Amino acid sequence: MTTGRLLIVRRELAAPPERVFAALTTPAQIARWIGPRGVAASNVAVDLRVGGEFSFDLDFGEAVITMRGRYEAVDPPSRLVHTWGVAGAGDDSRVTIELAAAGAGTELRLTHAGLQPDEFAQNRAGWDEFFDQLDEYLVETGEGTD
Amino acid sequence: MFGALADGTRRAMLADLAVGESTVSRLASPHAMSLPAASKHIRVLERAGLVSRTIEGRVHRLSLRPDRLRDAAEWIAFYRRFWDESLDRLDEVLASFDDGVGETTDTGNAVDTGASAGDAP
Repeated sequence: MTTGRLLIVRRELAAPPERVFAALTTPAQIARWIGPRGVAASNVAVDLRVGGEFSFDLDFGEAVITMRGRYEAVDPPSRLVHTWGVAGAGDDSRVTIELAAAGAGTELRLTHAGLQPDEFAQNRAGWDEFFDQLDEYLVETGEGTD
Repeated sequence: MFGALADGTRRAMLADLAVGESTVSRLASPHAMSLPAASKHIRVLERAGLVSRTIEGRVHRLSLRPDRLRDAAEWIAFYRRFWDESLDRLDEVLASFDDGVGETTDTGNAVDTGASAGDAP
């Protein structure tokens, strides 16, 4: 099974990698930042080892969703790889987080990839062109997403 | 579905179909590609639920199924925002710690402890 790249997010954080890694993997700290603003996280459980699982609840108001995943790589303080999905749904994806010291802080790179069987050789022409076209189409049809 | 979208030719075909329904030969023509090769691409798009085919006699009309693309676009938009805001909040959490002092409680519930980790209940 190969992965299709979906999105990559890069950030500079004002703390050293060890502290960032702790924030990514300690239940009480995870609860303070995971999820969009206004969405409260609770019941965070973490079994931090390859093959171990994590889960937490996100309260979106109309619904409380349980997210969970399994760790595939745990290499403190520089790398964390885990699957990701809604409990009960079969649609898992994979999150890869890489941390590199940058001065007194950390450069974080998060890759969120779908898990898809791919029968054809992947064309690496890039996603941006497609998304530009998709954006134009959605705007033209008046169904623009934000 | 993202496997179907990973190919440049298929993305171009979807862009053509976004303008209006088409046929296999019209979709093939910008790519200097044989009809069987084009049909193969189109079948991948159909299997991914992105394109639907209606057959009228000998004419196969292909049209875009925008609901699936919208699902993909929404997924990506949701997670872009999800990670952007989560990482903003992570930045704030990291900034709120005193030097060398981290979170001391072991509960998994979100608690607003304010700026000082030493005040955690």
